[in-house]
Amino acid sequence: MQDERTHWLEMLMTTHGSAILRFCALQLKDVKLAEDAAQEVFLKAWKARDGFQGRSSERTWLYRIAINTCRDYQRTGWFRWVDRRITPEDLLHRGQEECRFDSLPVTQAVQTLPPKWRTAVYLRYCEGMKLADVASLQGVSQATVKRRLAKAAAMLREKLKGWYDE
Amino acid sequence: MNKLGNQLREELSLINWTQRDQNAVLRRIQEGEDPMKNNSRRSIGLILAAALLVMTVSAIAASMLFTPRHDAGRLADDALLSQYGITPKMMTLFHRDIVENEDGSATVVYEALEPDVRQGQNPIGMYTVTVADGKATAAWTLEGQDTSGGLSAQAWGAEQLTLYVEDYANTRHFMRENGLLAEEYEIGAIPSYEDWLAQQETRQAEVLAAASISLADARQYAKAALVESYRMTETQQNLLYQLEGEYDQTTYDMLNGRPVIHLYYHLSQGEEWTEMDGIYVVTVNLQSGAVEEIIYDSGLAGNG
Repeated sequence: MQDERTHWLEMLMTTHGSAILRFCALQLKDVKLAEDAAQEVFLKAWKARDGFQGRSSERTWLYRIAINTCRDYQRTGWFRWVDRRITPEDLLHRGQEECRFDSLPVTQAVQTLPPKWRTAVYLRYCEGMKLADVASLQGVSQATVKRRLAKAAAMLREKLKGWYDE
Repeated sequence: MNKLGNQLREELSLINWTQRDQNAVLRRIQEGEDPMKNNSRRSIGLILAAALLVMTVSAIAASMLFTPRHDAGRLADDALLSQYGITPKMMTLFHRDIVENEDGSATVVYEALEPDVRQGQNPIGMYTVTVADGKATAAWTLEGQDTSGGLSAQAWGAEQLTLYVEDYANTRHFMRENGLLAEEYEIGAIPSYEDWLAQQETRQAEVLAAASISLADARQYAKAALVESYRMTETQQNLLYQLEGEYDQTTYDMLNGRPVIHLYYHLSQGEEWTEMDGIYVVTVNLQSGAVEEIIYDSGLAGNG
């Protein structure tokens, strides 16, 4: 039973790990913090597996957990108490090429948006989710999502003027 | 927006979930870690500070001051509940506006945030509550219309609003399947975010110049008001939080000449929505410290 469960989690992480990590990175603006958050998303998924009723897709379910986890991290000071659990193995690998947001102009511009707009932009444009799914994940109407996307687009057009006109 | 999506995807593709991440998760599971224990490093000092805060808040709550405007809002909400069965949870579907009249009475208007939810007709309508001499009387623009027949009823009463709020996704799915849902919404002119920020800064300066109490005091009064008004338990008080830094949602306003601050509090008691979870907007008068208004938004549908 445990093996089956572990196999399920491994499949989940292989399939959705990068997408969830990128979402967390966009939200938290810190790759290391995002790694912690993404790991926590999968730990929570593991813990809550029995409660997953299959009413939504696994992807949608994971994003629901990720949105809540990032929101918790965004609470001021919360992450100060997070046990990062850095092991010697981690330290060895931390030397690998680190992602710097200042070399990613569009990502950086999206990160200046209010968190809810940022979530909508990522889910809609990066993940290609349907408007109805984004609305359901954010717990709002489609009209609200449309408004958020429209406002985000207006702001991004302003911030990325040169890039948009290319 | 495909250009944006493609570029964002390309840039973020530099960030990848690795075997190391995967191993870290599996290791934490093997060690039997409860993910919720991550914040177990909170010190005893922090716990004591939280307990002290609860005590202070309770002390302030005992001498809390609410303005007639706040009372009018509360009485109007109660009137909607008793006359039409509109619960606090459903308030997320409305925008509430309190108009203070010269004779001391108040007119409280509840407008639907999604009047165009249904194809071709506004089934939610508008509620107006008149509050005078401590009494509130509500009226509905769709008074007398038939509310039976589920979501295709002539007018939506408490039955339909309950469905819409509590089972939002399925309700909309059903409406779509039955050709009831208005698929396209008109999006009005979008003001520039920078303009809005600039406007906020100007207003904030004007409001703070007229303030007599500190922002720290305003926050204490706001929290005490929530505890008093909603009978929050100690656990709920400790879970109540405000977003800070760049996520701060605080806004400033002049309310009929009175400088006020709108403070946003969030309550989330677990993964799933629990009774009283949502956003509370507390408006505090920065001259008297009195609470002018509290708006509760369950965030369940329509206005998250």
